[in-house]
Amino acid sequence: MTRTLFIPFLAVLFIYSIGTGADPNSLPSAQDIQAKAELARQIINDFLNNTFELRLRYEYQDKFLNGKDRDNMTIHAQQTSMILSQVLQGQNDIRQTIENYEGNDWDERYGVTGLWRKLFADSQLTSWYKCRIDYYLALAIDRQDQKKLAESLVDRINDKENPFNHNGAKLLNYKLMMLINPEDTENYYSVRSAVKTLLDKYVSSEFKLDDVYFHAAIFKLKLNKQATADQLLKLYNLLKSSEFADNTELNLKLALAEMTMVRKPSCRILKEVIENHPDRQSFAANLILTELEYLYENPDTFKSHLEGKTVYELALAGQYIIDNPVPYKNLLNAVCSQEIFQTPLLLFAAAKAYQPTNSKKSLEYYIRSATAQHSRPDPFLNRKPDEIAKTAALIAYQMYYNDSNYALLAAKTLGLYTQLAGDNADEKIQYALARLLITTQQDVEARNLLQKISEKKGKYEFHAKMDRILQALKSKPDKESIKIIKKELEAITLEISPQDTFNSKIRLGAIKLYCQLQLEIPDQLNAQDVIKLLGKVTGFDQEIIGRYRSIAYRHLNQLTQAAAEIAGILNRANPDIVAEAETVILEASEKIDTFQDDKSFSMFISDLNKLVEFRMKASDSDTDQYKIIQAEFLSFDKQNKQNIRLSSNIIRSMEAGFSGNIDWLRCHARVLMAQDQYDMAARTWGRIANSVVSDKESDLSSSYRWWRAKYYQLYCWAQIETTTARQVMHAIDVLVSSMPDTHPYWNSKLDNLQKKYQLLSITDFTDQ
Amino acid sequence: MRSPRRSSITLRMTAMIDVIFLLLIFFVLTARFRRPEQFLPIQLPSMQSQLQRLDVIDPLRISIQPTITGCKVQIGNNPVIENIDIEREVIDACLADFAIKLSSIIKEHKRSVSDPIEISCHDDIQWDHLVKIYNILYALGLNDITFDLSRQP
Repeated sequence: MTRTLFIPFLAVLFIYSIGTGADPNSLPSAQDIQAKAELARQIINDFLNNTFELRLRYEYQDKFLNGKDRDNMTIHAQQTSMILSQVLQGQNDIRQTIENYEGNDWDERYGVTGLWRKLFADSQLTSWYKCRIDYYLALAIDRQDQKKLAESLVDRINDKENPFNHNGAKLLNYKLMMLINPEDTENYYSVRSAVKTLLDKYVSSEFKLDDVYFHAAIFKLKLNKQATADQLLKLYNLLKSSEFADNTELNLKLALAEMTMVRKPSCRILKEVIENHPDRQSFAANLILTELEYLYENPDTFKSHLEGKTVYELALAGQYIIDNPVPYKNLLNAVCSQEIFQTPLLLFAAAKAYQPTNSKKSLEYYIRSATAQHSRPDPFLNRKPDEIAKTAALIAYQMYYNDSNYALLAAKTLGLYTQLAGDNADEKIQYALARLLITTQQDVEARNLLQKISEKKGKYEFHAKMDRILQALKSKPDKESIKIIKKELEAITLEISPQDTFNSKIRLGAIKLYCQLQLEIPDQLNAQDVIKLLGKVTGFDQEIIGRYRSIAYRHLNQLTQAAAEIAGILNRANPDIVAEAETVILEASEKIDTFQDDKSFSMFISDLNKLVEFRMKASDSDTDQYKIIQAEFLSFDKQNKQNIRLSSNIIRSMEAGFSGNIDWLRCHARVLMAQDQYDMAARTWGRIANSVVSDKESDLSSSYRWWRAKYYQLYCWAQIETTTARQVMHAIDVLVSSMPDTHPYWNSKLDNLQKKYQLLSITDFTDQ
Repeated sequence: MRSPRRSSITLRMTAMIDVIFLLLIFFVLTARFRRPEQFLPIQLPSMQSQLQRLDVIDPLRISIQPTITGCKVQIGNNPVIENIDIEREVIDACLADFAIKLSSIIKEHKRSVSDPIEISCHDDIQWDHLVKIYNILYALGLNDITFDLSRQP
C-alpha cells in the first residue's frame, strides 16, 4: 500500500511546487502539460492494477463479501481520488495561467501548437478518471453517502457545459442509476427496465467491439440476474475473436458471470480462461474460497448454496489452500459432507486441516483420500495414493503410540499403505505393521509379513527375523523347531557386525536368547556350543558374556572356570550376576571335594572366597549359610594358618545356634581336619553320615553326601595313631561290600585309600 | 526227810545237731546254681561310651517285629538285605535259616566277629524269640552286639 502511494505522493509534491510556488512570470510549457496528463494516466492505471482483484471480487457477487475488501477499496479510491483532484487542480491552474497570459506570442505558444486544446482535453480526461475512481468509492462507502456521491457523479457525467459523451461514460451512467435505485427502492424496476432498454440498443447497434461493449454486454446480462450458458459462451467466443482476447479482466468477468448466473453450474469459460492465463488461477481460487467462507457464515443454507457449485471450482479452491488448510477446516468438513465433492483433493485438504487438532478425523480423511485417489486419480492432487496413505499410516501409528486401543485401526491403516505402495513400501512402516499384527494377534499375517521383510534383506531384516523367532517360540515349538531357531539365532549373532549400532539390540537379544535356550537344562553339548559361540563374538558387555560362560561351564562341570568367569564380573547392581554367583557358590560347596586334585584348586578357592564375600555384601538374606560356606572354603587353604584360624572362629561363633545344622557340621568337620583333630573330625563325619540316613535320602547307596561323609570318616579315623592299616582296609571292605551300589567318585577315593593302606599294611607286616 | 532238789532244764543238743546236719546235707545235695550274667557277651552302654568308642563300621542292623505267627527278622536297614519270617510252629527250622542267611551276609560283607551288630526290637515281641535269635548271634561268634533303645523298628 505504501509503495503504491509513493509515486503519487511525489507527484503531489511536484505539482505543488510547480502549481503554487511557481513563478507567475514563468509560463507552462508543453512538457508541463504533458507531465500532468501522463501523471493522471499513471495514477488511474495504478489504481486499476492495484484494485484489479478487489474490483473483480466485487463483480463476482455484486457486493463486497467481507469488510476487509470494502475498507481496502475505500482507502484506495479515496486516496487516488484525492490525488487526481490535485492533478486536476494543477491542470486548471495551468489553464488559468495560460488564459491570463496576454503576451503577443500566445497563439504561437498555445494556439497553433494545439497545447490549449490538449490541456482542455487532458483536464477533461482527468475529470473522467476521477469519476471512475469515485464510482468505486461509491461502491465501498455506506448507503447514505453512496447515493449522494452517485448523484453527484451522474450530474458530472451529464454536465451541461462539459458532459462526458463517450460510451464508457454512458455505461458508467447506467451503473450509477442502478446504484442510486437499488433493488429495495420503489424505482428499481422502472430504472432497471430503462437501463436495459438503453443497453440493448447499445449492444445491438454497436459495431465497434471495444472493451466498453463487452463490459456493457456483461452488465446487461447481470441486470437479468441470470443467463444461459450459451449466451455467455457466445459472448466469450466473440471476445476471443476480438482484439481484447487477452484482456484478463474481461475474460475473468465472463468466467465469473458464468459461475454466478448460469442456473446449472458450469465453468467451461473459467477452465479455458485459467488455461490461457494460468497466473490468474490463484486469484480465481481465492475468489471462490472467499465466497465459500461468506456462504458458510450461514451453515443452514450453506448446503443448498453448495449445490450451485461445480467440482472444478471447489478443486481450484482446494488447490489454493492445500499448503495451509488449517483455517478452513470447518469449511472443508462441510464441503466434504457432500458426496459430489468427496474428491481426493478435498478429502486430502480436509485431512491436512484437521491434522493438528483432531488426529482421528484427520486420519479418516486421509484414508478416504488415499482410497479415492487410488480408484479415481484426481488431476488437481499431485500426490500418489501411497504417499497419502503413508501420512495416514504415520498418524495412525502415533495415535496407537499414545493410546494402545488404536492398535487395530493403526494396523488397518498401515495395511492400506503397504497394499497401495506394493514393493516400494517403506520398510519401517512395513515392520511397524508386522509388530501391530502381532499385537492384534493376527499371527499368520504377521508371520508372512516378517518373512517378506527378512527376505528383502533391507534395514529391518534382522528385526524381522528376531520377531519371527519370538513369535515361533510363543507357539511352543517342538525340539526340531527349537534346533532350527537356535541355528537362526546363532546366524543372527554372527552376521550382525559389532559396529552396527542400528541392530545392536537385536544382536544382544539374539545372543541372550540363544544362550537361554541352550542353557535352559544342563546339557554338555549345548554348553559347549555356547562356549564356542561366545568365544567367537565380540563387542558385548562382559557381564552378559561372563554370566553365560559361567552357566555353560557349570553345565560342563567345570566349576573352576565358572567361578573364575563370574568372579571377574562381580556387580552388586546386577541381580542376574548375584544369582549366578549364589549358584556357583552352592554348587561348589556341594562338589568342592571333586576339585581338590585340580591344578588350579587354590585359585578356585580364592575365587570362591571372592564370590562369597560379594554375595554377603550384595544381600542380607541367608548370611549365616554363606558364613558357613565361607568358613568351609577357607578351611581348604591349609597352608594359610590365618585362614584356618578365621574359619575356626566363624564356626565356633555359630556353634550355639547351628550345632545341629548339617552344613555347619560338615564345615566343622573340615576345620577339625585342617587342625589335625582327626578323632573329633571322624566323629563329626559320622554324625553327618547318620544325619543323611535319618533324612531318609531315597537312594543311600548312590548318595554323594553320604559317601562323602563315610569317606572322610574313614580317612580321619585312619589318621588316628591307634588305627592300624588292617583296620582301615577292613573297614573299607565292609563299607564297600555292604552297599549294593557305590558312588563312582567316592568309590575311587576309597579305592585309593585302600591301596595306600594296603602298602602300609605290608610295611607294618614286614616291620614285624 | 531230804530237802527238795532244784531240777535243771537242758537241751538235748545231740539230737539237734543230728537234725541240722541232716538238713545241711539235704540242701547241699539239692542246690542248683544260676550262671552269672557276666558270661553273656552283651555290650551295655556305659556313661562315657560315646566319647570313648569311635565306630566307623556301621553296625549290621537286625530288626525284629512281632507277627501273628511268630516274628519277622529284617537284616540290614538302609538298604534292607534280607527278611526272614520266624514261625512259632517251625521255629527251629526258621532259626536255622536265619542263621545261614546271616552267616552268608556277614561273609558277603566281609564283616568280622568283632564288627558291630545292632538289634532293634519291637516292645511286643516274645522274649523267647529274642533270646533264641540272640543265641544264634552268639553262636556265630559275634561279640559286639548292642541293642538300639532309641527307636522302634
